[in-house]
Amino acid sequence: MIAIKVDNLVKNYGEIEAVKKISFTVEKNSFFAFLGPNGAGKSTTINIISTLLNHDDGDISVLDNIVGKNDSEIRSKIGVVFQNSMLDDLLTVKENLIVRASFYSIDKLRLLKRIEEINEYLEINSFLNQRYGELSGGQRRKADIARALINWPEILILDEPTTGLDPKSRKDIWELIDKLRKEKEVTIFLTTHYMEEVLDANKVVIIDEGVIVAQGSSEELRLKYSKDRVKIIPNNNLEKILKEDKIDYYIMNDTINITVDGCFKGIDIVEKYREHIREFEILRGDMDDVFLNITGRKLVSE
Amino acid sequence: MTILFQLVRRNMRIYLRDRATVFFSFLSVIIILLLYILFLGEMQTDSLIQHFGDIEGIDWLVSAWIMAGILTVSTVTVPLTVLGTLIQDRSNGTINDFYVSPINRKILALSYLISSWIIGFVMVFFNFVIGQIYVYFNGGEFLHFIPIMQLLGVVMLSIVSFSSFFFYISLFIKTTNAFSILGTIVGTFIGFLGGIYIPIGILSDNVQFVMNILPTAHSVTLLRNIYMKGAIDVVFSGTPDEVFDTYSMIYGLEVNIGDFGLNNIHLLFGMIIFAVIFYILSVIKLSNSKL
Repeated sequence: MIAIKVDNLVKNYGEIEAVKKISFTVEKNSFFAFLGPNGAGKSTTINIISTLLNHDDGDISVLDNIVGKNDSEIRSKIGVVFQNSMLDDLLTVKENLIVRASFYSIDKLRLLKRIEEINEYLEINSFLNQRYGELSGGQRRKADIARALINWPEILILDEPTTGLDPKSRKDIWELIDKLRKEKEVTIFLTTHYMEEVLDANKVVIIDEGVIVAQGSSEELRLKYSKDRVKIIPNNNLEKILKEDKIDYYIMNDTINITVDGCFKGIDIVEKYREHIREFEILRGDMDDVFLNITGRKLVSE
Repeated sequence: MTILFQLVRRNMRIYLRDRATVFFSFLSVIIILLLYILFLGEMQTDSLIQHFGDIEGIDWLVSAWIMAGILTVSTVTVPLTVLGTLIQDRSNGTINDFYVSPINRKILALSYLISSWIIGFVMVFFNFVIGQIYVYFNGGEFLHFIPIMQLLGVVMLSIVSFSSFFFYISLFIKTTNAFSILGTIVGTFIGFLGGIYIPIGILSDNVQFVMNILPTAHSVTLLRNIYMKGAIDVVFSGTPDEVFDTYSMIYGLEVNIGDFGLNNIHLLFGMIIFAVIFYILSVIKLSNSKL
């Protein structure tokens, strides 16, 4: 079953081509990740899927409803967590939720029950009666997610939900999304530029400068586009020996890095040059490497 | 209905909980009041005494005149400030949160207008009560039931007209910064447009013509005639008609466009037409663009 189908989507802002003929599908009840650097076209695509933005060309369907035709049906079935906070600072979390619940014709009694259900995942009860503007970053994000869940959407769209949060809040948010995905039948559509957030994704689509540059499961992408490597802190003249043995390496942060086909090859290297090695690590290729290898650039600029 | 009710309540809460916004919507009123208490009131009283002699009820006349003017000013500035919520929602993206929900966009637009009407009315009503007390302590009398009803009717119409106008203008404003500039401009000019700082009759014909086609003049003239009736009866009871005619022309108790004098019905229609024009323009604008 397909939840979202994007076919040859094009979006231009005047002269600038933000999204250039991209196509992908999102399976129902799956965890889909849209990975790319800032300005790659992620938010534009999300805004088009969630009926906020008109597109110039291409067909998009969300739960068998056509974007641009059955927008109202789509809106009633999705929940969106935006990059920035969208709730009202001067209202309490509960007041915010009551206003938003009315959009979906959820009456007060049903809403109270719904808030209880949402609380099981988000633990929002402790700050339900606090003004949104007075909450911490992590609490605000939880309130944003609670708002997106108010209609128990079939698709939960999250646009960089953990950007700007402290590590603890990021972990919290991440765990609750994970729990939600496993316990509720909800399709998660996530955009992010943090590679560690896509490791569990059923499907990752990598977008760069408005073009899809790779797609597949994170494992597939890792195998295809990245290599394991041995990271060595050398003892003595290892560099010279490697040169003599014609082994390719590169220096990063004073460590010698040798890419290898699989971790056992790494062990061989370590065995062979054991006496020249002070410390070593065998690292698996990650999504940062995937991105680097595909585009020649790092995902998050340092 | 529930959606509209919830949205209106939301907009009202946001306005009322932001004390700075509430204060700023009355800033022009406060400035006008201070100017009158400090010197404009005395200048006007002196000038009237010079012309008509020290007759009974002058203080009542002057204070009723200024309070009617202040009412018109608040029917302009309060709805404008309430509509600031729309600009805020647009600039911080809250409007997108509404747009990804299955709500009718006309209802969303209407919610901003209705909240500006309700808050406008409540706030101007408070203004009126305070004004009545001020007039009472300046030797005047409280208005009776029927004039109060007439006055509140004009106030409501005035609020609907100006909020319709500012709603249309708001559709073109993207940032809160631009909106606060608009607020400053309106706040600065409203005292002149309403003929409050300087009585309209001493301005040049061209300026008078422009001011008289604007609904601020229509609103303030209608309100003055209701508000000042008691004072006029006392002050001008023993004077020839020409004296009152001169006063009424200088102090804006009548609206003339060229040689044509507008009666109350004309003035009411002027405000209704103004409201309808900008309402229709807003609908047209919204039919091919977002809020």
